[in-house]
Amino acid sequence: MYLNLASYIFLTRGEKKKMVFSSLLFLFRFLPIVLVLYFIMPRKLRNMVLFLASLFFYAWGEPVYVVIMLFSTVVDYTHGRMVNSFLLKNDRKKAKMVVASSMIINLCLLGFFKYSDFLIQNINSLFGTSIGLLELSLPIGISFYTFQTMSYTVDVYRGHAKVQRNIISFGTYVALFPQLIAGPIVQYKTIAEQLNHRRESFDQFSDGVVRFVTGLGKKVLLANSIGALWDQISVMDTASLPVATAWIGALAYTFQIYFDFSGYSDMAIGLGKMFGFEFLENFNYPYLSKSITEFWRRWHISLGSWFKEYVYIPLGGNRKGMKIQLRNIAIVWLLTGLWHGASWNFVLWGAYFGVLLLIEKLVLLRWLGKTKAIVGHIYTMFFVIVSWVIFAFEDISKAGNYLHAMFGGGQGIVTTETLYLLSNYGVLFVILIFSCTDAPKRIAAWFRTHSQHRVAASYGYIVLENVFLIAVCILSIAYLVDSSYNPFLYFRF
Amino acid sequence: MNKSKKFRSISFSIIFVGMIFGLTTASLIKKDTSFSANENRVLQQRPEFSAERLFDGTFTKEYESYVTDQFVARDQWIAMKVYAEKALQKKDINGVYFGKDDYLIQQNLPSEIDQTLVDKNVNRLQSFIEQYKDKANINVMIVPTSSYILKDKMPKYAQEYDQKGLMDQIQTAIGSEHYINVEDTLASHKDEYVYYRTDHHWTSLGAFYSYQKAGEQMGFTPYKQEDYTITKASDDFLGTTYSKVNIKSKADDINLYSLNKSLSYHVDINNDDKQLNGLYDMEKLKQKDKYPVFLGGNNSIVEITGGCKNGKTLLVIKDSFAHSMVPFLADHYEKIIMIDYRYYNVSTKKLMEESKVSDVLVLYNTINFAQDKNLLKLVK
Repeated sequence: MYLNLASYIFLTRGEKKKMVFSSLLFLFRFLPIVLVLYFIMPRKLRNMVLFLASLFFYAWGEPVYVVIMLFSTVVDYTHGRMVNSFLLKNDRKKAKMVVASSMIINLCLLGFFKYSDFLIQNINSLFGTSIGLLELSLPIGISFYTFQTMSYTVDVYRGHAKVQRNIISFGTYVALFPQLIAGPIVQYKTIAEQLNHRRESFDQFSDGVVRFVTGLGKKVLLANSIGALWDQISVMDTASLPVATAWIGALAYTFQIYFDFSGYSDMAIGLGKMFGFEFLENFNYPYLSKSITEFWRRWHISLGSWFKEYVYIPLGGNRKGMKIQLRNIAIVWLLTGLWHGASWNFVLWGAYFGVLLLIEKLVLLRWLGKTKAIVGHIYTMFFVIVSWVIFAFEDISKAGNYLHAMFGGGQGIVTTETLYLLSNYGVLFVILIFSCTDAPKRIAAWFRTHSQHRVAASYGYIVLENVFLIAVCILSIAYLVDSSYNPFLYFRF
Repeated sequence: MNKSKKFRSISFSIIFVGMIFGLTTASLIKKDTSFSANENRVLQQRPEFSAERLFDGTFTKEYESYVTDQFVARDQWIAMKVYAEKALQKKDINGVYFGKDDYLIQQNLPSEIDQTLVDKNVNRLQSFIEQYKDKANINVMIVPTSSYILKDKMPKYAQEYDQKGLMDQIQTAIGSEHYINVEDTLASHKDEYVYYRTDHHWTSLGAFYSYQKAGEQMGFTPYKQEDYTITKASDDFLGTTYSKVNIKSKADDINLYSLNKSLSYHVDINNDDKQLNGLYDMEKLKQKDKYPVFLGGNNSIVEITGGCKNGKTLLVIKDSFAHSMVPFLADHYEKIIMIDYRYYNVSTKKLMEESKVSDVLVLYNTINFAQDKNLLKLVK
């Protein structure tokens, strides 16, 4: 009843129950077993362990759909080899056709499972037809792995990556469980070298552990806790929702989505490190941005770079004049929106950002550069918070009602209920605000540099850091165990 | 790399790995628990494996619940979470407020009450009274819950359902000649032990004051406090609101009242299903939920005789709040029939006629009355 599903990881709604990192099952069954198997194996077999473990991880929620992922793996493996052999024969035209074939297959997979019902619904409402819905459950992580495998074929074609001849290594790349279900979207070329030649080290492992625990805390302690507030407010009657409560709700969701998603990315990156991989960062304190342009350089970085590299630039990017550039921005943002989910609100959400980015590009950025930083922060957060409301409600009219309440369409400004919610969540909000800035990182860095040259102080720092991490770890376990606490009592007797 | 840096990098990963493996092993070794008394539910046991169960998802789902339900030191982890939330200044958890003076008070949110159902229930009560008021002496007692009476102990700004509004609505609808107003009675004793700290019920004392108040309207002379021997039957009662939060709480006393006259009551539960000698089922004090000590707990129909011989038969239509009150009433009626509409399915009309009911008491707490979906049975 606590772990709410309204999180970024749902990106793919309607999925079956999957294994997630923030579960006791993962922490106290899957992870220890995989760690043991992985490190007792000789290097040569480690990819095999990871590959099989990843398939198990995937199959846990999707015993059938694992076939689709394997299909996608085999398709892109063979396509990669074909592209390579045509390139060796200097036949770029055929190589290009193979790339096209890979993209078509992947997009068809994604389209069929993710968008067919959306399409049918729209056709039905447009033409008054009544075509039955397919009601397929969405294969876990399909939005992520189709994008990754496409990037592989393109990279091979472009000469950015060497072809992968070992299908186990390639399968490991596609199925790699740390990033399988919620990213980051790892581009093949960024880990090509590591797939076959990584050297796990104790330091990297330790960094990974710290990173994983940080992410676990963000997800379990912060995102889930504040998510409970959003769950409560989002179902209130918007006609009588006071302005302050509506904003508190929107802010709660703003924090939930950030800590949920960035926490999950942290866990992915941390797990990657534990097994010797270095994934690129996915978040860089997005809520510190001073413009929407900057926000999108800091938020879900791996998605932004994917679209930039494989859509925006191939379309001509900014090199073909303003008109083409504006068109390209429009295309990229409509697609970005649609990628987040097969529903009009996501399209609207993408379009909303597209328009804001265009306005910034044309006029606003120059002006923002000259004003005080605080103006930029307020401006950015205002539009970001509004965007999350659009994102949160699949039903656009509900988002409209909620936004209406945020701007005075409900009843009054503040009620005692608002005060009660604040008294309940005030402390948590302070923690959330502090944690979404880079202040914790800067404070830690300050302590590190100032204790560097004194032995006692440096050990003191280490002890302090360990105590903090242990506390995060233990509290996270407590929160996870508690989520199953389900008293069935007769209050009503 | 210097030494302290090396130590830093090693220390936490050793702790983490130790923790993961330690707790995994401990959870695997631990014997499975079958029932959680606090939650009053059966815990997930090791699920059976079959290909069919794997492919329809039941196996993985049950296995995940199994890992969580059977986690080592589960109750302690849960308590730790509640402490953490308290430290964050959360005022309520799992539908229970952390009140002043160690009170754990049941939360009643306005959104949990459906006013159309309330209106229906009030109407049903009205027609019931209309139908029988010439044949029997009918009284209604609607008892506010602790969140209303113990307002002073509630967290600031708490959003509670308007119990006062409900009580006023009922009183206006049925007229004060049928309505026993215990709101002021309880409020005037709010600093005494009238509600349990860890349970949603009122105490024997709360019920006693209300019984005294009821005497005049119901037509009997109530006994005084000194007419009873009061026995502390338990001093370690941890009730429903405790179970909801599951952290260390100040346990409650259960006080049982018995008249200083030797009387032999006879309690018959569900038509000869079970008999009690006396008003209290002392066996129930041995279990986790001790409130059923009063008249044996929730049952469809309970008949109490032996209190006096005056030819009067009282029908009590009630929820569990009545269980603390009826032991007092037992001394003023030759026979009391207590029915619970959640289980009782025989026609009320038939019962009224066949048992020659002379008096009726409808006793519910506010929230149960507002939410009861069985009150149609009043007029059936």
